[in-house]
Amino acid sequence: MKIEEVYTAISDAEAIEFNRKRVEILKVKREAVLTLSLEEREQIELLSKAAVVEADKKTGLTTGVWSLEQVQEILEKKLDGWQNLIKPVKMELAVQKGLLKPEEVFGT
Amino acid sequence: MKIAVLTTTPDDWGDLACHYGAVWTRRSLIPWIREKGFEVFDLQDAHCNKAEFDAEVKKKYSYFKGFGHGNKTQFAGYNNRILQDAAKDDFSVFNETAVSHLSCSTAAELGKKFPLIFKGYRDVYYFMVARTTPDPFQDKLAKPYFDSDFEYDRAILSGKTHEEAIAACKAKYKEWYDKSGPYERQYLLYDASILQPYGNPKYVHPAPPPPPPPEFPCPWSDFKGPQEEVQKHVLATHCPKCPELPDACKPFVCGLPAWFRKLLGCKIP
Repeated sequence: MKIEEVYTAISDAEAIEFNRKRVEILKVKREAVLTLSLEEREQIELLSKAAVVEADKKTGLTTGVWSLEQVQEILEKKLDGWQNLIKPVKMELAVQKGLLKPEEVFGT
Repeated sequence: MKIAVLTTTPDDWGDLACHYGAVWTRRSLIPWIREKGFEVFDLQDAHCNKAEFDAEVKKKYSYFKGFGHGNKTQFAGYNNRILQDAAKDDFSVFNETAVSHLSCSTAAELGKKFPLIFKGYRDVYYFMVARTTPDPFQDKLAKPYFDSDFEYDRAILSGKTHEEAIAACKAKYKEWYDKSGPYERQYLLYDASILQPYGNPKYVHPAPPPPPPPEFPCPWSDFKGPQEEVQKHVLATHCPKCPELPDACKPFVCGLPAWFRKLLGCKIP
């Protein structure tokens, strides 16, 4: 599958739901952190404070910096920038569904 | 053409993307380039403005690594001041300059303007940061993105062709993708998918110029230079005017041991 075809093969609703579930899993894991291994705990700790950053030149001086929960909120409410933020989610979902092989992107 | 590298690192502390990109470029990529033997001129912070950028570009560097915000037609410096504009600038000055951007979307339109070769991204570039460390260089979540992008620069400055460097860059994204968790790896996959080269795929960047010859100090003055220059200097400045002296006196008046005079090229036995 061509990379551009991924964006039409996966619907917006499907990608948003996929991302919502992942964010939920992250929240559950964060709450049950004591049951996790040390390695998992460290990863959850890292992701709970993590941000997604974009390097887009806006008219003002602000850069997009969002937590994973904020990304989900932008997608669900279709706030400014959602059409770009959904692309990486669709790509990951396409890989998980077997529609896209990572090798098709990385060329290896 | 000047075989050297021009970089932009607009570190604006109010802008997380710029702060991270500047820190990673300065502490990871630039030291590597210098170690490779290339001269680097880094336009930092407020110096990333149009006037200073254009003045440097006129020096015709062989390589330009631009970090900063961007969109389809513009590449920005400090405080989003425009450094390159597809609609306004004369790009013939980049005739002999290979250009690599780490910026959003500049490969969509702006990248096509560079006459030699260009590497950039044709859509919004995303990266993740952990925000658990005050030092971006220690940020485990951010490293895969910068390390992957810089692989292109490292490869082409090591003598690989443009297309080989693109392949090396994608392979580095893949390497980090395989090592990353599901939340962060989607951005690596996506960033690799928007990587866009233009120009001759067989282009090879020239090797760094040979290092200058080692300098030797004159034992009697502050003069320094390559060995031959120091020899000439000692003969001209510190040796007596040999032809005016009786032969028998010459070795003594001079005061230099015979072995040293021989080394300097003195003809007196």
